[in-house]
Amino acid sequence: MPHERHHHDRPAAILASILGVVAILGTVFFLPTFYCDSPSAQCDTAGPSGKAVDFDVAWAKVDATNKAVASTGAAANGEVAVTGIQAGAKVTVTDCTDTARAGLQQPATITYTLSGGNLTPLSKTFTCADKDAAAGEITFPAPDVVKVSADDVTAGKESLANDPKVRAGTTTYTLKVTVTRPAGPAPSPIGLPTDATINVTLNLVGQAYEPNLTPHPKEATK
Amino acid sequence: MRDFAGRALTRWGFRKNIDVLLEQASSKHGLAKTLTGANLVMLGVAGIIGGGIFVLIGSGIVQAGVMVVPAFLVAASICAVAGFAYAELASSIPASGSAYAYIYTAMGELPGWMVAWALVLEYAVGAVSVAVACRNNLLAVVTQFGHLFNPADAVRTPQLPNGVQYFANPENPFWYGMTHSPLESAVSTNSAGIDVNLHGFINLPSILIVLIVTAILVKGTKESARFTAVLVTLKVAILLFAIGVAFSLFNAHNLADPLPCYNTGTGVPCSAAGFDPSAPTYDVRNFLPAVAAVFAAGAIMFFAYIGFDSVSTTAEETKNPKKDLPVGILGSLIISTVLYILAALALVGASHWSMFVGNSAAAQLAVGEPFGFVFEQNHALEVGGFSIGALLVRLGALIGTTSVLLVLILGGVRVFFNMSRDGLLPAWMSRISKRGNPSVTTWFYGAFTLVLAGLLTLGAAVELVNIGTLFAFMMVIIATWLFRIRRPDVERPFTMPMWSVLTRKGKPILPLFPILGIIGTLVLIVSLDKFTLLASITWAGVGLLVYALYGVRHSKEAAERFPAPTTPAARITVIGEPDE
Repeated sequence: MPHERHHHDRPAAILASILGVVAILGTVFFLPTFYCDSPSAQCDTAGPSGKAVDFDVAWAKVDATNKAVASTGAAANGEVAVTGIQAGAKVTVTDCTDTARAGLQQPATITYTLSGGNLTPLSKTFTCADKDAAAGEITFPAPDVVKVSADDVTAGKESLANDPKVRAGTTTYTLKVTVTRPAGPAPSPIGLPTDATINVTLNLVGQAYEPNLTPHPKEATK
Repeated sequence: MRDFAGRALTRWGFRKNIDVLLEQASSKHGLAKTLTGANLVMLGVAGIIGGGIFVLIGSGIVQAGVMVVPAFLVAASICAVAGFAYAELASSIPASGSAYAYIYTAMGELPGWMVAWALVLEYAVGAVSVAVACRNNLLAVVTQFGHLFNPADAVRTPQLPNGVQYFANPENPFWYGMTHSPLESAVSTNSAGIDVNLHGFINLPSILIVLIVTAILVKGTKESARFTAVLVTLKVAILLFAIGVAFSLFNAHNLADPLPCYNTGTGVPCSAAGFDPSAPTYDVRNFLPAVAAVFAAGAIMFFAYIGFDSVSTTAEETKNPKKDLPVGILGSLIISTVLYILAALALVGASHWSMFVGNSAAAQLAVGEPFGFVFEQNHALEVGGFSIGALLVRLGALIGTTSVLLVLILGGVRVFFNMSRDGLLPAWMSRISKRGNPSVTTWFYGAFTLVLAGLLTLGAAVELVNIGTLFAFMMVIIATWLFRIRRPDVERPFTMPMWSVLTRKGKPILPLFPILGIIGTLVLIVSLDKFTLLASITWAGVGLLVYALYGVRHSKEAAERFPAPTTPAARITVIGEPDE
């Protein structure tokens, strides 16, 4: 048994180095692979063990691609069908031109009724002068789902689409427009046009909720 | 080759001489002895009860329903085994290195080094993550007051369980930048409905909190103990108040069907209308699933108990360590267990478990802030729409995390100090200031925590705290058993029960109590995720390299066993001295 310190130190240091290098090389390259296995990792996909990722869900209202236009001088209807997670529908007035002359003719009043699903119908009456205030919408509240567990974002969105709480399906929204013009204040003088015209264009846009999924951040639990 | 390996193993197994250790500990040149048993209980409670208890119970209820109460007992019993082992070793080896010193003495230098290396990670990662949690709690408190003046500064988004993205106002990104690290980012929707990406620049609140805590620790251990006592008194008072309010809302009907069964997505209980048997269901109403659920909840709750071990790092600063250390370790464990069980019972009594399950906003709020949810649901502690209850809970979490941060930095510094004193780390780390504490190491450790907390997020590395703790627990239990066999002669003012079924010459050969503790900690270790297990092996590999390159050559234990050959000049001096 040697009794010099280096006779013990040298093998201890060499063997510890070898074990250290083996431990590092044997594990370090696998760390990226298994990173998403950790509950504290913020990943968009589950780790190799397939353990589902918890996502926070934020709902964004988006316009459906199809929309209806009700352009009318008298009465018209518009209809739009939305497939997806129902958010409701909105109406905007893009154009409104009334040729009525002040003092000679009354401005035309436009009334629209927007309905769809089991939402309370919305009715608004306006004239071209206040068309900017005529926009309106009927809205479903955002689904009361703020968390989903899934392997990845795509699977999470699929899971949400099948959740009974999110009202996924197809709903038709209807816009009914009527135009009336009250009688004028005085008989039209000879030589002036008696009939004023109106052109109004209303856009009907169906809306759907789109889920935005972000990995749930974990805070220290201590 | 066998000789080579044999010499390496012999060298790794050099055990610290307990008499030298006791001499070091009692030396007047060592750390100032200022702490009493009561101080240690306070330090233990400070380390155990953080902000997590205000959150973890919700996750436990989702797993086990009303049976979250026995789940706390399961977690406490595993901790109790480790607690008994720490108490026995702390009373017989009152050195400030905690698990490191015990294992160095009972098992050898390399096992001691490996545990110390794991503890360094536990304390360092723990301190950084708790500093970030402190920031979150501080911003939550400030945000709640911000509502009174400028509602726009607290933008409600569903990104966090309680629905508040702190300081994430898209109209004023400055405050997000100054309160978050460069690796943090968030998406917030502005008033025009446009998503704005917010990026962190520096996490100033964490930096300030770490700076304050480090300055208090540098001032002195006694001063730190006083500060800790104030924090512990406040947080325990807040916790007791929250428990009291929750108990006032107690309804026995909430305990009627104690084991959960529900559709996992919608959270509709199996006994309620609207339950869909074809949808994914979580059902633990039968015996075996119920036991599994209680243990799963116990595993979650276990981490609410860790922290008591840091009491043993202050052994050298304790006036009567042999008596006071067991009091500090076990006393703080008992107090925390009682508080946790009361808190769990109050919550499941005030609100049915079905309120905590499912993917709805309300359920997520209940899980994220169980006390806040119960208060809000019952409009308790609400004045003019301002929730005093939520504020109290957030203040409790802020105070709790601050005290944990203090204990983690204190413990980490003591481990560095001891390793350095043994020659395994550079000597400047064991320098003692005039105030009798390792102020240089404290500033070094504080600066390290401050930089990491200010500039980084730990991500998956946070979980390494758990494996570091569990590894230390397991090794301390083994060391207690081995030390009984190897050094039965050492005075043990406190002893761990052994329940040995086979004893030889008074030595426990097959002790059930420690074996159950070892199995319990092993089960928890293997239940950790693969990334954490692999990363801990990588960290151990780094530790082995540092040990090989520095520790082996500078070890004072080895130097004592192999004194350096004297120089010719020295020999002449010796020869010239008269014989005694």
